[in-house]
Amino acid sequence: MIRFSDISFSYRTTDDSVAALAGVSFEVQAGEQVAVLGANGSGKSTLVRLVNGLLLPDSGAVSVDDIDTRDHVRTRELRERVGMVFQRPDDQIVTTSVEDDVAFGPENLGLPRAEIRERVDEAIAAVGLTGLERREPHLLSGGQKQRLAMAGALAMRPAYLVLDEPASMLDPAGRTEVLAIVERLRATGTGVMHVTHDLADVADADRAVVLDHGSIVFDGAIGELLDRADRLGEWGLELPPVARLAWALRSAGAPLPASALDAETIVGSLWG
Amino acid sequence: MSVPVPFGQYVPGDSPVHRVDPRTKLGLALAFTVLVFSAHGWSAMAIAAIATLGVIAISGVPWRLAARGLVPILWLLVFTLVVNSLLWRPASAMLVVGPLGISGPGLARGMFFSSRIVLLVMGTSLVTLTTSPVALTDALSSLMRPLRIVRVPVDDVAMMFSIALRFIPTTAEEAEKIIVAQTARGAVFDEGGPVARARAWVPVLVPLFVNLFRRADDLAVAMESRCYTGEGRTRLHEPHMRAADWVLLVVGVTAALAAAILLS
Amino acid sequence: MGLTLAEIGYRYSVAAAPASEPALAGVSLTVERGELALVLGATGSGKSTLLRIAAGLLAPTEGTGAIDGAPLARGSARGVVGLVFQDPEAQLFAETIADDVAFGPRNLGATSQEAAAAAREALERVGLDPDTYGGRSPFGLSGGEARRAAIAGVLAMRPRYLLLDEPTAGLDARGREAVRTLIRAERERSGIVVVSHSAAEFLSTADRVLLLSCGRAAFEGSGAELIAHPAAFRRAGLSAPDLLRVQELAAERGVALGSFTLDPDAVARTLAAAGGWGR
Repeated sequence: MIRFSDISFSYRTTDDSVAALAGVSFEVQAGEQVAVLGANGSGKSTLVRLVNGLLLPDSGAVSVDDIDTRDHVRTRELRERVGMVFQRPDDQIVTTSVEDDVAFGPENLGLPRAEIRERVDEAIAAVGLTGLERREPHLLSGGQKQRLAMAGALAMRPAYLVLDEPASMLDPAGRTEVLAIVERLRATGTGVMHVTHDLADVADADRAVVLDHGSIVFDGAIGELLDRADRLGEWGLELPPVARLAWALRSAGAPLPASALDAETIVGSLWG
Repeated sequence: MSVPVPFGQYVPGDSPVHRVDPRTKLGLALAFTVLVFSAHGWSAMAIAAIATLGVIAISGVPWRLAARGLVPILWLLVFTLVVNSLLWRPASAMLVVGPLGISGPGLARGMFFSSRIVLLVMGTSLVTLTTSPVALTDALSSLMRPLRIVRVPVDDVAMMFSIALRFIPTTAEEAEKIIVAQTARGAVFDEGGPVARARAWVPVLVPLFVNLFRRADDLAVAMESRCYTGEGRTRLHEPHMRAADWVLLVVGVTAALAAAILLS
Repeated sequence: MGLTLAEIGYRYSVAAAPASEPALAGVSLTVERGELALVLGATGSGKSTLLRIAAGLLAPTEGTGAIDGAPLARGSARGVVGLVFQDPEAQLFAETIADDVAFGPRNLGATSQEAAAAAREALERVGLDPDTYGGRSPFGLSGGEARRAAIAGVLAMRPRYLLLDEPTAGLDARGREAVRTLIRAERERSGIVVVSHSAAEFLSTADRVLLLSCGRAAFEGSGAELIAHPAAFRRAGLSAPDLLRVQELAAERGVALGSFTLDPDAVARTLAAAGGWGR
């Protein structure tokens, strides 16, 4: 499990200190898909960098499967357990071919060549880039680049994957590709922490945590969050139109399950 | 979208020349250079020429592309030819035009030196024509390995080259976008004296560099997150010399040196 | 009058891509002052090429363009048509935001004072208080603020037509709302063309909509017409906004709906009434 225990963190500059997070506590269990939502400036990007020890909390503790992020000796072990995918696809791709970039992580672990090959092929297949192994990254579309970044993380065979706004710089086609892979991760039992400001990205998550100005203001089922349409604006979030429709129908008494958030399911539930 | 190709030379292919290990090619290119420089007679030059033309033919690289490297030095070839013709052994001039005369020995000497330049350029460019930039940097870093003994951070340097190569096309695209955006705001880059022109590039260079620094930070974060420490790395693709590569290297170097010594 | 593009075609140079399809073929678009035209399409459909032609940065290989009657030629649109590129924050470079916003007017020949005044006005129009933001570095801004500062840099040139390429992409809810607000305000003084891959945001307010697919027009009409016929999205290889899809599916099942709309509450009321729920 990824555990945040009463985390506080401030960015310190020469004459100022900006509190990014205060008293944040929550967990991501093994195999769970948790959505972490918040507007820009809510502290969510700081949270991402705290997960694998890129930043250390001022107070409180962060641990992944009981490895504390402060434990220098076990940093590599920790970073094998939790893979990271960031917002800008180009800024995660290190080298000049798809397969070499996916191999980067396993190479860093000093694995034997045969095992690197196996992991690379497996990860490339998992993200649907088979056939593009020798392609140069600048020739890939945005969605393909981000899938490459995901393959790079998956090649480490992590128990958890943290995604920091993975789809925000992509066009709708790219977004669909990336979200499809996140959905497929469910079957592999990989825990997912999906950080985003867009509720439409995380409608399928098991749980939602909302950050507002550095504190957690909601931690519960996604369905419950969608029923709080009134508070979302305060937190800098927006309900996607179809989710608002679903909420309004439920409020009117329609027998619509909270999980119904796409057109087919909504109409199907109400009119068969 | 058109993007500048790094090093401008690599022509992808699967010929026997492409498949030779880059280190063998580098070694052979070095031996070739020695041969061409130490040649005093046409026979050695002829051998070098035949070898060059033969390799180009086997490599499948179009002649037009192979000769492209000569274009920037065309002036040098003409200059060499002309200066030697006019100033070498002027006493035996064949053709006299006013105060200047073209001498036979001079012309021959000019052609000899020009041929040397041509062969040098075409012979060595065969390495970059038939080896991808990535394979070349891998080969260079493997050749640098002995420098580890004197504490040169060879692996880090190799990683830096590799990352630089990776970002050349991406950065070029970004520069183009910024140039277009500033042009749309009325910026002009081709007017005024040198100072004005230099200043005109500030609105392109500043954002480009700011972006590059941010990108470097983000890339470092991504690399650390994938456990990069610079040490203890294994490789998926390790360039390794096959028997054929060794044989080719030894035979080629021996032949070149023999020709250089015997025929000079 | 207005910004008119008629039967525009664009083909990349034959040397670069000899056998490829043209980037644009037979596309027409008109926008008058006070109107908003929305150009939709998938990546590669030709939307950005169309914008560059409309801004006079590219000359079309076929067709003609005109701005308020004057022929549109390469370079003639400077100062008259303002183009805000995708991720325009990349063009911020100056030491202060005020200087950066004044860059455009200066290039068009304004004096320092005129440019500074234009910059102030532009910053106000995008909702960035010039006294607070003017002296700050453009590099410390949040995503939404940087976006608006870049837009101000274009508005400062007082264009009669404003073209925006994916103006809300990559912003959070507050950022998108701020950009939508400033577009609504600008509409009163200029003709606006918005290129977007997210239809739902601008469709209800668009006077004209052009749906591009592989360089050709798959739909031309008003926003209301497209809303009423969501099938056009699919013909262009796009998905219709979810809310329209709900209405389409409900209509297929015989639910009595009026004309389609993009207002979720209105749709909810209609469906609730049809289903017999409601308080």
